[in-house]
Amino acid sequence: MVTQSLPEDIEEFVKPLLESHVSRQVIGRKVIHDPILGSNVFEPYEIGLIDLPFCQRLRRISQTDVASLVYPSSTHNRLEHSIGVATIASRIIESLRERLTPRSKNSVSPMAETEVKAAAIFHDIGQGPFSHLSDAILKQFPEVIEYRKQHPGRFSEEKPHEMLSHLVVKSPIFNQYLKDEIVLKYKLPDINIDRIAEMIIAAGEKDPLSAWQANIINGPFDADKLDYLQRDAYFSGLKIGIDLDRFLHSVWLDIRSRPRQLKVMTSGAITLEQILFGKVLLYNTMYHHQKVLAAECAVRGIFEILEDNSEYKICGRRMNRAIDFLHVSEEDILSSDEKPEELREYIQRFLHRDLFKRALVISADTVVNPQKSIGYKDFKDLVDDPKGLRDLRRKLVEALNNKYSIYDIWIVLPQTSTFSDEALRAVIQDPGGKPQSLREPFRVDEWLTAYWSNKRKDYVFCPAGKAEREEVGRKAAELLHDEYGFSLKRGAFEQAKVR
Amino acid sequence: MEEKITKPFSPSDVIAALLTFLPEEFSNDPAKIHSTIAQLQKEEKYRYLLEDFEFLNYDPCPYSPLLGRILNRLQESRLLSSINPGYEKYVLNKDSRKAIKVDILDKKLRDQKDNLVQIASKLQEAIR
Repeated sequence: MVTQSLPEDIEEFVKPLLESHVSRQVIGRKVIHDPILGSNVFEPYEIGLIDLPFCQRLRRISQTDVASLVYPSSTHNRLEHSIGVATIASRIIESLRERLTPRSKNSVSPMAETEVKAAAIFHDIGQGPFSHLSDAILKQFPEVIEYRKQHPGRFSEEKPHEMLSHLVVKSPIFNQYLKDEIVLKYKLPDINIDRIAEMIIAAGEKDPLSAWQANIINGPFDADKLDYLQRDAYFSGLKIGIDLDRFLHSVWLDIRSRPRQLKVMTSGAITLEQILFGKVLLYNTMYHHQKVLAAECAVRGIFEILEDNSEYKICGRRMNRAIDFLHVSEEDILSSDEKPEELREYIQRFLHRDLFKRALVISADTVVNPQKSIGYKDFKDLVDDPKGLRDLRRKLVEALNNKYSIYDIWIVLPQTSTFSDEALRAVIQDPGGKPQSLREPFRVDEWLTAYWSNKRKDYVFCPAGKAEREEVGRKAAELLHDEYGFSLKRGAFEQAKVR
Repeated sequence: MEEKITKPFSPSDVIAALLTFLPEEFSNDPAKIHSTIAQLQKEEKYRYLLEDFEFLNYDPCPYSPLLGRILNRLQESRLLSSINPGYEKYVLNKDSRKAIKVDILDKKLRDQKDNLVQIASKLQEAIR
């Protein structure tokens, strides 16, 4: 039952943080050095924003949740990423100005620039511990569902953190603080704080004259993607490239279109394709790497134990409301202090990298005649039905005569990635030429979907041990046959590499 | 939420069943597919079938992440495919069509067949 609305919860989160924050006047510009984007100058007000506790909190949120257990150097955090997004947003603005005529330069005003940079710095302040793992939980909370329903067409179901970031910026107390402590103190142009909040969300800013600002923060080729694709690849050691310079040479603002839009010249279309290729490669090699998914199960287990035991808390919080995920850090969750034995056991296993192992690999390659039955589709639908997926795990535990805890048996279906929304919304056009979407010359999104469909795998994970893995794999295959009517080939067991 | 649980079909069942009323090969234009479903969802008689799709107010057209995921998932599960090398059309082959008819249309959506035929007809008109 919803007792307090999400905006009310957010206000309660924001108030004490701002009351305890000592705001210091930043004197002069500062340079922030970054391994990917080099040395970049930040205005005093930007440093003032980065110093806010909401942003400093991002130092303690991993950018790639638990991927560092597989890619040890992937330990970068959400603050580094947010600063990177602000840097790239600033470069995009510079590029847009270069391409405007002297008469139209005012279209990219200092006010618009300030709003975009602030939105870049704030775009992730609603992220919870372990980033995407929190999102998967937050989207099921009643107050999140309720708020989304009250505002149809505005918030993506997949990314509740965007909603939380938006609500923090929009909260009256934060709004007033920005006016008093940032806008006045740093003598900023008359910025629109509500517009900053709108830029953060998927379908935000609709003012036709300022929609282009939102394109920079949350669009088909936004600064967010341009940063995370490079940053996550760099820190994980994967060689995945985005030609940012070429992109900056080809992006322009069409002040004649309504809404005013960011467009990319035909010579820069390749950089948009690189963004999509980069995304699919990163998902394939890192985000959906079987070992990363197994590590995520360890954290999901900790969250499930908390959900199942109402007396268990983290820092005094039940972790059953979205707001709890903003108060609690990854260190809070992983510290063993004052935690019940059951939780400590799973935390220790995570910290010691005692990860689950594959028992079964399920893919179109390992299913017998997938095109002839709907069972495999029905099984894959479980990705949007967390309760149904958990019920299936429970049935598997029962089939294994309850030898295992449900927190030890995992059926993992990584979320399907889509490419058509970006390919559809990305506009390629030379000034004076005819506009077309990225997918018009060639259906790059469908081509990537075909690639993805051939690479994608679902897994059954269980504790290590040859006999255990073989038994779990066998029982899981039987259960999938009984429940969904599809059979698995030998490859489903062989690809699990049980040794 | 309660209504979702009591429905005998899933959003992917609806999309799969719809596709059986389209020609074997049909255009995979997401702008038209998403716009048409978003438009039809507003009509009372189709709401029961289409209400689970939440559309974001994107430019140039409304976009449902769930519908996008389902179209990809149907490809991942090999029921639907895109024709190489142009990838301009989807194909629902005979085996898949038969499986969807027997296990979805006849078992879960029999009483919605007329509405599905109408939706498919409007979709076909849009993507022609």
